[in-house]
Order: sequence, then structure tokens, then C-alpha cells
Amino acid sequence: MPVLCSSCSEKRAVLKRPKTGHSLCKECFFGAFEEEVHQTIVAAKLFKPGETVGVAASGGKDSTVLAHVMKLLNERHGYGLRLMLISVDEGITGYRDDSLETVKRNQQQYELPLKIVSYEELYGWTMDAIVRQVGLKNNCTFCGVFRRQALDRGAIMLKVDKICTGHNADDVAETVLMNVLRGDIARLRRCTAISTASEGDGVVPRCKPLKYAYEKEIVLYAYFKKLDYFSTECIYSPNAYRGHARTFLKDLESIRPSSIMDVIHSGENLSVREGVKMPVQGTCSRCGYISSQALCKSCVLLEGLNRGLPKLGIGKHHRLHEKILSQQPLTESEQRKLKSVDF
Amino acid sequence: MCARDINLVLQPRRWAPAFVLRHKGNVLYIETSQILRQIFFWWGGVCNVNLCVWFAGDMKQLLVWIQQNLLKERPELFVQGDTVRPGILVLINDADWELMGQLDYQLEDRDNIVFISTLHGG
Repeated sequence: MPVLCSSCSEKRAVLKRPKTGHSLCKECFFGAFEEEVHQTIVAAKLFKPGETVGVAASGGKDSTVLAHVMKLLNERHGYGLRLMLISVDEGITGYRDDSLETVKRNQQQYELPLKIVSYEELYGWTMDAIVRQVGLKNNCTFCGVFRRQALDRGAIMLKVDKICTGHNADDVAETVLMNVLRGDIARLRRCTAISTASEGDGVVPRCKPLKYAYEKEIVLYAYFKKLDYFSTECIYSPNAYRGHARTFLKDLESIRPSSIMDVIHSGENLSVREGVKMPVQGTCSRCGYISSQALCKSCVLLEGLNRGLPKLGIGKHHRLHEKILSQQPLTESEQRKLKSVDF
Repeated sequence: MCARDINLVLQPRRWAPAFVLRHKGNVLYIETSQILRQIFFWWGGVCNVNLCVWFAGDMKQLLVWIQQNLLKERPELFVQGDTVRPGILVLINDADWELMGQLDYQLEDRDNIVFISTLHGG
């Protein structure tokens, strides 16, 4: 016997929402999903009328749904925003080049301007070349750090006022868990913020309109609306640390679906004890990007790659940063510590 | 065939024609009158595999069948214990399987089963 929608009681229900436990039909689900994103945007005052907003698009499910919903809500509720797509090409063959084709199709489907920035032109290194030097572990650090800067550079080139990314509730909950597991208090305090602070030149504020949307609902939204998205894992991701947090969170979700929202709630309401040393925001002395150290992470990583010392950015080598800044040569033992392990 | 990359659409039938192989775009359609022990196919781009299979039983038995017949490597990326790995959504005739009784749902003729993986970047 088919279950009826709990909202309109007319049509057959197609899914059970993990957040509320309600069974909804297709149309009611679309309405509820879009309404919740709209409420998130309005409650957090994410946008002002007349702003130019860059949608970070990778061709995957979250960014495709984000682009679709942003365009829809912009027209339906009259936000008055100018939307653009920004995409980052990390140079991963067999993954990124295919997903970029999807972004180009999205550009035509949604009729939004598109800008693609690539690691090759910004840093002179593709992810494939980086992995060849660094190995299969720790390469996500390079990709993530470079991508944040690449997004900012792309946004400045397009002159956008804000970037919005497709991070969903599962992503934020995984980040909270990861920061707890790694003891990263500074990030733990910042990671649940729905939008970043807007200080500094060369930094564009970012927000996450889909922060309270479950990944399951995003996938089903994309499936029922037949949105065009690319669905394969990054070939280097099986060794990522986030995978462990994700497995744990997914197991928890299957037992108690509200755990994802509860983890986010815990993360949002954490306060840090007095007297804990927190990093202070400054600027990088080399490139001017925001940084809490003398050199920003991106410069450190790039320096390490260019000098054949890929482990420079991995682990804590702050004392060596001054040596690098002043272009002093490193001693034999320091060099050995920083080179990648040869098999 | 790697369990991780599939969007598997199964259409269990009480009756199925003799072995027919059709290739349309990115999708390989296989209709078979018997359970194949090994399925060879090629796909490019988006990994969608549409299979018409001859099968009668409930979802639990179907998962066992998939594990034994379709997953050549790393079954733990698709099944975990009795059920699918958390993070893989199952739709029966375009409705969430949680509404249909999950593993206890008895398959009917012409049913459409879709497995969607959510475990990838967005």
C-alpha cells in the first residue's frame, strides 16, 4: 500500500526526509527543500540586493544543485543578485577534465557566465605533478589550500562581491568531527560559521547556503529534477583523512538521522576556554594573502614543491620558514627531513 | 566493475528474453534469460549501468545476488553486512525504499530499482 504525502495527502510519497521524518511527494519535497534554503539565506542575511555572487561550481552534485537553487530563488524571491559560475581546474586527469565538461553544460543550461581558473596557470603545478612528487598521502592538503586561493583569485578576476560554495550539512559535520579528532581548536571555532568574515584585500567573503541541507536530500533533489551532474570520486581521495570521519558519520546517520544536525549544533555552540592560544590573522609577507604565520600555507607548499622538498608544508616546520624567507640554504639533516620518502 | 562507481538500475522480471546486448550512449543494456556469473561491459563518462535481470524474491536476496554476480571487486564499497553501505540510496520505482519496507520489500514484475551513491565530491 503506497504511503501518502504527509503534507498534501494527495500524491504518493517518494521520500522520507531524514531531518523531520515526514514522507513527502515530489512537489512538496521540492517546495520544502527550496523554502529551507531560502530561510537559511534570509535568516543569516547572506546577500544584499545588487551584489555579484560567484557560485563555486565543480560539476558535482552539490554545486549543480546550488547553481540551480540560487538561480531559482533569485528569480522567485527577487534577491536582485547577479550570478556567475567559477570553476577550478586542478589538473587531475580522468576526474576534473570530465567534470569541467559538466560545468560547461551547466553554464549553457543556466545561462550564467563561467570562469575557469587552473592550478597550472596560477601556480605552475597540476595535481598530477604534485602527487608524483608528494605521494598518495597528504596530497589533499595541497589541493585544498591551493583551491581556496584559486577561488579567491578567480573571484577577484570576475569582480564578484561574494562566493557561495555547495558545502552541505554532512560536509560541515565531518569538518567538526575532523577538527575534534585533530585538536585544531582555531578551525573548530570557525568551521561552522555560515559565512566567512570579510576583512583583507585579496579575500572574498564566502558563504554556504546549503549548510543545513542533508546530502541525501541534495542527491534526491538532483535525481528527481534530472539535473546534469558528474558523479565520480576523485581518484586520489581513497586515502583522505576525511573518509574516516565520513564513514563514522554515515553509520551514525543510519542509526539516528538527526545526528548530523546535532553535530553541527554542538560545533556552533562550542566556546573556547580562557587562556587558550589562538592564531592571530595577519598577511603573508610574500604574496599578501591572509595568513596567521609569516608565510601563508600556499607559499610554503609552493616553495616546498619548487625546491624538491615536498614535506615542507606538511607537519610543523615553522622555524624553517624564516630560513626560507631569507633564502638561506638548509642544512643536510633539514633537507633530508623534508624530502619525500623514496620507495 | 568497481562497486564504487555504479549507479545501478535493476529491472527484475519474471520473464526475460534471450541474451541481447545493446549499447546506447554511455549506457550498456543487458537483457538476459539467466543469471550471468560474470558481466563484462564498458562504460564511459557517467557510470550508469542498466540491467534487466530475471529475479524473484525480496530486496535482501537481491543484494546477495548482486554481491555474488555483479561485483567483481571490493564488495564492501556497496554492501555492508545485510544491507547497502550507508551513503548509498535505494529507490524502488522512484520512491525511497524506507517507505516500502527496506530489505523486506518483495520484488514485483517490472519493478525499477535504482542505486545512487552519495559518497563522492560535490
